[in-house]
Amino acid sequence: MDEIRMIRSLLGEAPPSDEVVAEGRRRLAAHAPARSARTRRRLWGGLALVGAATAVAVAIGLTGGGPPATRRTEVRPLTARQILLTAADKAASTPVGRYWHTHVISSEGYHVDRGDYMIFGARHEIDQWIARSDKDPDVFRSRFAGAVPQTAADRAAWKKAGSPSTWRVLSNGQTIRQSARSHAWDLVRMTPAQKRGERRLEAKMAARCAKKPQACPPAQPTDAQREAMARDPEALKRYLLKAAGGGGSSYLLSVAGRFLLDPSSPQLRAAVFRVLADVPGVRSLGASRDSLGRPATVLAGRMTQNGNVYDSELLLDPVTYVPLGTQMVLVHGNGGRTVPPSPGMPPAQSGGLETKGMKPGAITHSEIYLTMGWTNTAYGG
Amino acid sequence: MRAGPRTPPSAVGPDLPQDAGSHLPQAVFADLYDQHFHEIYRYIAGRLGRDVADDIAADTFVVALRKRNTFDASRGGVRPWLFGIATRLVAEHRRKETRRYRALGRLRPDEVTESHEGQVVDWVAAESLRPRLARAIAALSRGDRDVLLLGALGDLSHEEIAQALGIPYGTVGSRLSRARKKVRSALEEDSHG
Repeated sequence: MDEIRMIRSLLGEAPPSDEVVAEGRRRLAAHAPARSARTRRRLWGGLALVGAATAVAVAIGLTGGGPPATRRTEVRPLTARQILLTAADKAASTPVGRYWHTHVISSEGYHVDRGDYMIFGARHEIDQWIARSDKDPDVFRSRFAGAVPQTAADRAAWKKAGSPSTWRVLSNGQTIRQSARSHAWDLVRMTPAQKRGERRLEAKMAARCAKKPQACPPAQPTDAQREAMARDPEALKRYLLKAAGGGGSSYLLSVAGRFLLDPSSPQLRAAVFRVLADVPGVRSLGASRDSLGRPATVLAGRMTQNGNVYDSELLLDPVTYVPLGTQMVLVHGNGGRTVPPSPGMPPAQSGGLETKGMKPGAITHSEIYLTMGWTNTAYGG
Repeated sequence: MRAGPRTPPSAVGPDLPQDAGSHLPQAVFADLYDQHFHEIYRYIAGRLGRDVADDIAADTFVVALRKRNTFDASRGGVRPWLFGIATRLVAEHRRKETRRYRALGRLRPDEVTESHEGQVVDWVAAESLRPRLARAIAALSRGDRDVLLLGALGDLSHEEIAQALGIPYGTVGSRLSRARKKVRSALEEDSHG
């Protein structure tokens, strides 16, 4: 009799749902004080009583009144390589400013069985100003934004289903609840003194980890190491490919989007686009719109994961070529096979596997960049 | 949730470093979260159930961030340190933990099988022992239970358990063998019961 195995079997629980993971990440990012279980339940579950009118307003406000996100091809289509090299040139000539400002909404795509449509759920919004100088403060705002239908067609199906303000959807083999209600913003400021303290900690950590790496978490590249990659395209490519993990080169567009979210010099940003321009398999889907209805030039890399075929897409502003976001779009699913959570499954494989009920074109993961760039205007100023 | 400006993070705890020796910088916590959240969650969910774990697992990382000056790389890795924090948070919910074991102990075998479908393939033959197993775990002393479950649920080695709980290596071995013995004898006694 193996009692340890029996204990695991008795007490073993499935992995956390995506929204629990996202909420924990948000709280960590916001240094949020621990909230009681009761409050949490109220936030996730008890908000069912949001008026339908509010839900409609929220949904329309956030998905925008723009035309539906249908694909249209340009008259004179540029190749993916031409687009990326243009983006590199534009990035190289964009001046830096006092603050690096990014405003990002990350979300997961969920299929709603009742009414058969897609929503964006677990929507986590981060709005931050990172000062270039250590003498300026950083500002970090975050919140949970309510779930919304994905496209105009999804919105129509949602209305037909009675415009519900909460949904039950499948995530990691479990049914979870999503609400249309947005939470209030959290705001954290970091003063120059606090930033200096952090820098000292990082330096000491790095020195210690150089001597004893086994006791340390994997190192993030420092600003200097990132910037060095601007002059070493091979190293930059190796770094991005490593970050793409099992996704391979087709996943580089998503990885590059995330990399570009951190403050970097015009030269480094240009280098990222040049690396992408040389990646085989990246193609242009031409002119389209993002899920907020903004005009976008779309680049895609095709990849297969767990029998599902996706396009990993990078969306660029058609005029400035600044990234508007990344998304995973279902090309065709694995036939509705759900992947049960199994004990000990690593986190990397436990998310985004379900495509049951989803049609081609459904967005399974989305990162929308509302803002990405240098500015001389401070938060609130 | 507060909407207005809050106290800056570095001023929250009474024990935060202005200048700390070997401690963790804030920047690594996003990575730590991605790497360890699932296993911390499942350890806590095993002891307290999913509802409570939703909160306490997130708390573990917020507490770790605030207490990052208590991390000392010379005393062990980050993982046991996080499990140690999780274990201290679990200890604040002892009644919920006992209630969970009691509930598991009350379940009829068929109910148990249904609610844990897919996880109990190796268990079917012995499912009638579950109530006894749950009672035995509930009856352990807190120290013995911490050691047993850090190993069984958290997959920590003896050395990591010692680091997580801040106890000598030898104590881990003695607590573990005592806990296993108690559990085993509870399972073996009176097989007609």
